[in-house]
Amino acid sequence: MRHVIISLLGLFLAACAHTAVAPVSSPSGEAVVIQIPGVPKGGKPKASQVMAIDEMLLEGMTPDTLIWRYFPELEGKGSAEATVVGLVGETKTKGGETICAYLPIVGVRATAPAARVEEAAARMGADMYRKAKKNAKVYPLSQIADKPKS
Amino acid sequence: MTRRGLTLLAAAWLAAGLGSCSLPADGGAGSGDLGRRFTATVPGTWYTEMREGRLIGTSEKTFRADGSAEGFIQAKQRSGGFSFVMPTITFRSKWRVEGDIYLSYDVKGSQPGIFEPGKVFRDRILSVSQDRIVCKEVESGEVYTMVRKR
Repeated sequence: MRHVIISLLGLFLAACAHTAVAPVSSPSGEAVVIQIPGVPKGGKPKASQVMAIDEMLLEGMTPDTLIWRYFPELEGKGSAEATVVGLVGETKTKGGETICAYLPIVGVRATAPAARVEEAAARMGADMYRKAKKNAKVYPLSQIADKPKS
Repeated sequence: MTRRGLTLLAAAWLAAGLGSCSLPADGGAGSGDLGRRFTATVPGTWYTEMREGRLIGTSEKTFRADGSAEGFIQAKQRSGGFSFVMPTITFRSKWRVEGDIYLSYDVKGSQPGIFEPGKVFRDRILSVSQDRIVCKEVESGEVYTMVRKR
């Protein structure tokens, strides 16, 4: 099952803003998938199960915290937003486990130069990785045996 | 002289400076002289950016006098107000100079499969100044500039 959050479109709307997306990735530079728990083999996750992961990754990210953490130069004079989109599908790990996997991609829009927004998206992807590791089972793509069946 | 003429002249000077190994930035260098100047100048951190269409590759590399180096590379695709940022790959490597050729070897990346094991990268040194070094990849002929990061 393929599940994409359309809210990413909203990130394009503001003038003088740049949007950057980056995969949630490990410190070694590998994109990762997050296991969606409680999905039976051959089954599809409920929307609420995917949203629970998005909420975990975005926890604490309000427009104000985005600014002070990733764009301090914009405080009082700019705006920033973040969202998470991703692909969902069943896949097998190289360890032989069949999982329902979510490949999250963070999207950031801010009224800042492209290079700054890109840097923030990359940092956010790394920060989300740390959150994911604490709260879920995370697999680097190199540990995935085959392409997810969506 | 017309503006177009000035532009063509500037392009010709630039091509001569980058394309000719026997005309380094401050003249008078014989075979190996550029290499010796590179060895004396390069310790420190340097930034490189390469563009191909919408694809932008950036790299930072810290050279140490003992022949070791470390850094990171990042690729992103930018189109108008939107960027896709790939995860950052870190690396460690060794470097040395043979004549006017700078060699990078024993490159180990944070993500498996990025760098071919045993591969030696050879770049001809074209010019060396305190904050700018221009090289040409022997294999591809690509010319690139390293700018010192302060």
